[in-house]
Amino acid sequence: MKELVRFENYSLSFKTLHGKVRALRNVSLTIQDGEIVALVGETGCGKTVTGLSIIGLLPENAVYSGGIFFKGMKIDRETVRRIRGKEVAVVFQDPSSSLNPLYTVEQQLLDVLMSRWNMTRSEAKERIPELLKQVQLFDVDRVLRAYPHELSGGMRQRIMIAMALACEPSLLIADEPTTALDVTVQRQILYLLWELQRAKKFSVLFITHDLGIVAQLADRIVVMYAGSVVEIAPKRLLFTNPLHPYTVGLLNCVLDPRRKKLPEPIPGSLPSLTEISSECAFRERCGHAFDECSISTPNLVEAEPNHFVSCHLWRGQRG
Amino acid sequence: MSLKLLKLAFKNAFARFSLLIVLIFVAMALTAPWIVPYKEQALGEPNMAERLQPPSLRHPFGTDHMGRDILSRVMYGSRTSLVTAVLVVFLSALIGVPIGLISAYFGGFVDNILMRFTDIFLSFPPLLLALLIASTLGKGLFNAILALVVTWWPWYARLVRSQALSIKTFAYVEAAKAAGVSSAKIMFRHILPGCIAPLAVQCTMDMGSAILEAAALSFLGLGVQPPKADWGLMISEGKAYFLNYWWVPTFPGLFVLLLVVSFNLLGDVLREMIDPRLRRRMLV
Repeated sequence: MKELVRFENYSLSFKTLHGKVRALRNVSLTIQDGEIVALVGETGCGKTVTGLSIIGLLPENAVYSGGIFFKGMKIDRETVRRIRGKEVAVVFQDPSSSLNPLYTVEQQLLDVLMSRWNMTRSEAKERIPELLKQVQLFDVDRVLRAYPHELSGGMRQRIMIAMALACEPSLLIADEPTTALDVTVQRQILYLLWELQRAKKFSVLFITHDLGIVAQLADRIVVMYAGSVVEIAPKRLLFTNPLHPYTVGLLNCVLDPRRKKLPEPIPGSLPSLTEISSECAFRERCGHAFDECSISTPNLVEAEPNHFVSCHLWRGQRG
Repeated sequence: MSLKLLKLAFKNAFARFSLLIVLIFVAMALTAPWIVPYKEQALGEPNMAERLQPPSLRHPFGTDHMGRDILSRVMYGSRTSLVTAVLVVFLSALIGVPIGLISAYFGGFVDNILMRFTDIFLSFPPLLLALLIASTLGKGLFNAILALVVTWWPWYARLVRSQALSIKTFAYVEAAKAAGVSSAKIMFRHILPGCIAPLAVQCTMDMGSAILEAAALSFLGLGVQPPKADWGLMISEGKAYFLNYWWVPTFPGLFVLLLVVSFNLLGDVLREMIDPRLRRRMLV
């Protein structure tokens, strides 16, 4: 497998009136060709910002260090233009606001096709029915003539996916694509994404806080906490042998009908991202914290093959 | 959708009235050379034999101090008034809209530079600037229009900027950026259409104000020059005769009033149709 995206010690902060907000700290991760990587973590841990960093969609007050490489090319202001909408496509969380309410679906699909492939209007028109069938929309005429508000949430998200696929990207960033949908539609959309990925072999960065989705879909899982990567593991390893106390906590939060036990929340809440401290970000909520944890931030180490964790506890056990 | 709005508009008496008046004025301006009773007099030829005649069948609005038929001149005057109004509004929007869009879209440094630049223009009193332009570049209709445009475009820049600032944060703009759409295309295809509604209201309302301002400039002798027919100029020329010959300045004045009120009503109706919170009131 070839490496598609690599984050190398990528840190990101936002300058605000209340000081620097450290959104990402030393993120290092990779996405391989044709693989589905899930990015999990609670709200505000930096999942979305990680995804948007790949295509440079950051607010003006963002400051970053380290680098992101796409197919070996460092992403900056110039190179990002070459991958947006060509190599990388994004499906956003809320399909009702990601489509422009003033244009028909057909117009918006035409726009994408014409600008991506330099097609003429009539060439693009011929491609559209096939695109819609790919995302299981069969009432082509009605859908094309509709304005976004005339369609259901699931249909709109299918159109967003169709628009993303029209670009034939090598990486699809799906930023909580099913959060705004109800459970039955959620399942359909996930299945659709999975099927399309199998057929077309593109990579997916799937951003979510729903471990149930992760369990079905992902090849590899990246767990984030307070802007840092705390654990990276193939799906099976993460569920059977979670190493970081935060991952364990997350798994305990999932309601499992087979266990006769209520989910256990992780006590406390996310630390402030404005404070600069050297201690492990999870220390205050961690049941296993010891002296070392308040002195330094742990590095990401390979605990077993393909399984990375950043926790003093683990290094302690090993050494 | 626009058809629905039109139907809605026709349910409203004010809308019907104002639209009708505006259309009559437009038709009058377009056909004036063929329908005025005394074309030469409308263009300025004196007719001293019939000086200061009161309204009669021959001269429904009477004649002025040079014996010219006031009805003909008032009808001809609608041409300059409407041309001025349309040009001032169109040119102001043409300058102001792109500046507002660019300012809002790029933000930061660009925004600061462009907005301080607009502030400079806003800080001049319009009439004073018009006087300045007229005295340096000379009197005339074109310079009057120029003077008005220079003082008006900042309002369009500000209006569009404030609207664009809110639209820019919508997810579909973000999605367009993610899809690699160029900045120019995002501005004009995704942000500008959302600004059209308030812009249409502003333009319509400004038509009325532009007519008023243009008349004021002509009244001061800075706009249209005699012997051409223009409402402001006619009021200015007629003011000396007002006490004894009331019809001389009264009819051009009434025409200004009627057209300005119509444009303002139309603007009001447009705003009410666009703003759903006001829409209910309109149907009563």
